[in-house]
Amino acid sequence: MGTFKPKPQHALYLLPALALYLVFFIGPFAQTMGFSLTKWDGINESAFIGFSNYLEMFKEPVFQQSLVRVLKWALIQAASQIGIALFVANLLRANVRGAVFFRSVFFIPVVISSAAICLMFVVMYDNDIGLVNTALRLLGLGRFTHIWLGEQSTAFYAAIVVPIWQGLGMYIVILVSGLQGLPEEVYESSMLDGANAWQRFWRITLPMLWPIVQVCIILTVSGAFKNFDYIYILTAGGPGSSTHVLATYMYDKAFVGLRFGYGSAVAVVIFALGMLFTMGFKLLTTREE
Amino acid sequence: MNGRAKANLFSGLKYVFLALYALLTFFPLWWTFSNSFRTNSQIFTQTRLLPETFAYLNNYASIMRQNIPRAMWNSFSITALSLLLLIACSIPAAYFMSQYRFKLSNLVFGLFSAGVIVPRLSILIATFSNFQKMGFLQKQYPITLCYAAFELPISMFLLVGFMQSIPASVLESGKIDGCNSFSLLARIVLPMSRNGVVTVLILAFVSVWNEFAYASILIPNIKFKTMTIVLANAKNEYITDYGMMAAGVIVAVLPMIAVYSFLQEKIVSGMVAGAVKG
Repeated sequence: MGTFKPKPQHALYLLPALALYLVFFIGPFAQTMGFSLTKWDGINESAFIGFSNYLEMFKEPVFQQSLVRVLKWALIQAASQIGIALFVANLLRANVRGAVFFRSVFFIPVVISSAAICLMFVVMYDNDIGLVNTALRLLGLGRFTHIWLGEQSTAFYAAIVVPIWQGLGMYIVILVSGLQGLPEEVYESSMLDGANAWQRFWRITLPMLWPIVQVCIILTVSGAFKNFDYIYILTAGGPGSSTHVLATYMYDKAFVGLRFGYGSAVAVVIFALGMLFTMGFKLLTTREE
Repeated sequence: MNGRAKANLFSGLKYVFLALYALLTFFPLWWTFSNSFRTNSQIFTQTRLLPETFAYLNNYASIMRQNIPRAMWNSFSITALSLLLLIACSIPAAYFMSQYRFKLSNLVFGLFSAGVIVPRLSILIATFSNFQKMGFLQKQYPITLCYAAFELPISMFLLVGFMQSIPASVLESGKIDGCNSFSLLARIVLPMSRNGVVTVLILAFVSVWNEFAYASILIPNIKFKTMTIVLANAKNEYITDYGMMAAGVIVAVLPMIAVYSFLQEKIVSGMVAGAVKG
């Protein structure tokens, strides 16, 4: 932060941003906390009911399932995105010819809208013409075809493949630049000591890369917690409520069921979950060092 | 196997993996592109990665007759206005925070930083209810206020960082030359933090252009719907018209792909910086 003492008129620099931020970000955040303690349909008078929404929510099976599902999603997303990205980044690291080309191809899905990607995958997963089923039939695995987004057993996993696939490019690029920052000498000396590629990865690369992997873990996990678009567009929580996550559950309760108070309580849980995870994770991982 | 052959095999395998992964990334897009030039019955009878002909443009013609051009304009104008608002607010504010110290400096900066950890989605309901009260729901552009506000935390963080790294001696000499606080911003600080401004613009562009949840709730009027909303609805509207769906996707991603191919380096580094620092 700066050192000069401002004159009163200099406040004009700050005021527009501050006003915008308070009215459209901080204000609604405080309101959300308040709404979560009320019973309110969004139209009529609201009534203060204390923590009733929260008590009801934690007893509600669909909420419990959504919470478990979002935790599962976070775990799968973090493990698969970071695992695959680490693998690909390792391949890209040592002067691969065409590294720039590969990197720019890998990054393309990251800049495309979730809506466009989802529409693409709706067709990919289509029962009759979709590439997924077509490929399975071609390989003689016709009995493994599914109506991927329409069956309770597959819909959730089919849906979360989409954001995992889309986000990979980001983590590949983050990890490649992390790998390029590691000192070359350590590798050379370990090669002289006879360490193989596998040992080098576990004993040298991963420990030195850990701070960046940590950032990736926080990004992937908190990304999954608050994600709305993919489930909403691909399955809207269905079939039944078999793919609901906290975000779509919140939306459903507030804008379909017109329970703004209850929906706000779910919103608070989404916020708290992300914050608790980020803080807890940082606390746990920095103590070790 | 001797060492040399082993090394060759290893590097060969490496390219096989990379090419496979590139294919996996590019395949869905390419297939969609190919389908956009095919009739529905062609799509149903045969899976092809190259269309029979690129001359069949009926899918494009029919989506262009629908709401796509208007949605495109809506997305464009909403994004442009949001970026303008964001830049107009964040540059002076970041300049102020980087130059001046006052009693509440830490509090204000902390408040902006706190925004990074609040998921936007969690304030959707409250925002909707405010929009309802303010009579914003039937209007097109109030949503840009939200978009600008959402991008403020990361923008402030990046811009203040950039502006603080300008050497004090440069600012001092500017002052000796008679610059007042505003001309210092316009003539020295802004040009020197150009890269930061570009990063902020790129981040905001990608995020606003692609935004879905808020656009779907805050813009109920069908005339004002953005591209992402029209696409998501297409899933139900063109339910079995796969050629049209494909054409819709291609038209929707084209502007972004075009921007990406020109500004690739800046976009990749900007988004990575935004993600990691956020």
